[in-house]
Amino acid sequence: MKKIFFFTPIIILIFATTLTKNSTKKLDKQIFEINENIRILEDRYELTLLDYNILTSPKKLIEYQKFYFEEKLIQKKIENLNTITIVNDKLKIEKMVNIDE
Amino acid sequence: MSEFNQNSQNSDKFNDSFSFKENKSYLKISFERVAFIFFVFFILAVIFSSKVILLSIKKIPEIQKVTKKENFRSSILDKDGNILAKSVPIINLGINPNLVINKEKLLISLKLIFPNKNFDDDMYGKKFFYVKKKISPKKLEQVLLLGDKSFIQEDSIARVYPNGNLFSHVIGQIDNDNNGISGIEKTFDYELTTSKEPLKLTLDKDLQYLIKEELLKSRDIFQNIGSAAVLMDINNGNILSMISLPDFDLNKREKISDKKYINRATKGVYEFGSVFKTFTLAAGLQYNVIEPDTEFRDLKKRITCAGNSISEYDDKIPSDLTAEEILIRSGNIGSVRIAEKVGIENYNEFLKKIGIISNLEFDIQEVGSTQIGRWGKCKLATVSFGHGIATTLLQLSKAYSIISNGGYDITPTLIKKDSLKRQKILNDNLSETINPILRKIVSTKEGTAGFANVKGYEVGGKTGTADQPSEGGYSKKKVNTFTSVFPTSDPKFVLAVMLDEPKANREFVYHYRDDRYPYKGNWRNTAGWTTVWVTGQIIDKIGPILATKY
Repeated sequence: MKKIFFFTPIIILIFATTLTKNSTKKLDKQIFEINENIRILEDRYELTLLDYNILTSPKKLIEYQKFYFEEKLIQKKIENLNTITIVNDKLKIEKMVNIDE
Repeated sequence: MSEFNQNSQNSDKFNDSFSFKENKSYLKISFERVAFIFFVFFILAVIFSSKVILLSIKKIPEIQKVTKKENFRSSILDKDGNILAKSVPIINLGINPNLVINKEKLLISLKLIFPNKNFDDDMYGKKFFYVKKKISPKKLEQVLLLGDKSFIQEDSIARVYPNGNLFSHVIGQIDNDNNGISGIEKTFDYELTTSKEPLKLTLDKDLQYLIKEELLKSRDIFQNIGSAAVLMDINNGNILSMISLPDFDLNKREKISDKKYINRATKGVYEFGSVFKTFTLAAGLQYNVIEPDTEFRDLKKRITCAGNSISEYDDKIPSDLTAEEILIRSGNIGSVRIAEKVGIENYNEFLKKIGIISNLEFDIQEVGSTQIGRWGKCKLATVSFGHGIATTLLQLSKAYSIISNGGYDITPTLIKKDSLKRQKILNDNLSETINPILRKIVSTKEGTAGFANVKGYEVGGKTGTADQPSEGGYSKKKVNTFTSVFPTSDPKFVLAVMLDEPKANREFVYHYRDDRYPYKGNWRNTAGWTTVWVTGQIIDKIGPILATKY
């Protein structure tokens, strides 16, 4: 009887350890796969970002502007710029600079 | 018998005492040897331990450089996170001809894949050669389908610069072994090859581009051989843009040895001329020897010092001027008089304080140092109006920042930092006094910088037109500089622009910033007619970005 009480928990512990180890192994595999996927996506993201940076470099943007918009895009002067603030739930629009020099 | 016994006992006694002595001596020698060997080992242990401790405490750059670098180099970003430099993995395809079974067949196959290349000589004369560096995946697949085992794939990295030559002088170059050889790539070589985090700079690519475009236009108009510009945040020393022309395309990986490619913003050392008059006036205010309205009467048009003549550039300049007017009208003789009041020691100390004379520690190693020679009465006189002293545009920007930002010391930097401790080094109210005077140089008719009076930005600044030293005197080649501060009511930015050897353009039509008619036929080769005009154009373009983004 004593032997049964002694060996039963040991056998249960061995089984529990085996099951836990097995499921941990599966989790490890999943984590590895996810990490690999993240790494691939990160590489792809960085290369896409590089492409984006090349395509949106100021030189390219000026080329696009000349090609697609000709003279339609006009640079704003500071006297035409306003600041918008919310005061007591109301929009307050002010000139960015006062040119009375 | 008893006598014999006695003798024998004596003999034994003698023997005992002899043998005892011998033993004692042996022990002593043995102990000394052990002690000696112990001592030697102890000393060796102390030497090696102290060396180990020293090595662990001290970071030796040579050791860092020796560390083997993998195929890795971090990206460099601008202040908004845009990529300025990035390493991408590439494959170099090589071949070992000794392993090729049928060389003729392989040569025909390679000719089909790479029609423009000829491998005949390499195949029969070398032990190894590259078929193609940075081979494209498509070509690599074609080569691998040949099934030849003599091909060797070599993993490597290629540095890509999306903006080409826009940041060439700042970022610098790397060599084929992934070592930084100039610019940021050199200074931060260890960080870039060991840290996974990208290096974030203070530069803004949009501002950089707009300033460069205007400098390129100026080259067409004024035929200058080079130019440079530094745009700096006046309060923390963050450099938003730094250009030096001519520049070079980083993607081409060319060896740059021609002197014309020197970094004119940091390495080029020039006599900047009248921009130093601001320092002379500021030194006078710092040491309380003048006030802005201090009058200087009967100023001569020409003086001599040790046989050398110092004269006004404009004979129409009045003989009675206040200290403020001397700066606005850019009077040479008046500046000499102010400097005499300040004195050599004080003036030297002031130039050290604002970073003109002291060495500048900067984030790239291509930095020039100020050349001044020995102080004396005549040196003080010439330095007061910016001659006899040569410095860099970066140091000039730093000095103007300190004078205009309330007198706080700043260190120009290209690397984004979290916080900054500010230390006041100049008198209270010095900036409040100087800034309106700089504004008058741009906004009044007496001033020399009207073309930079861009509406809405309260631009102030000082011009400098300087003949450049040549053998035994000065040549007719000029360096025209304009250092601007804006907005002068609450200064935020310093923009220093320099044109190297510009020429007057009689065909160019100047549009004034007031109601005057456009003007053509200018013959004056001064900063007011060259660099100031360029600075005005630059502020026109970058102003809205600075106003809305910063």
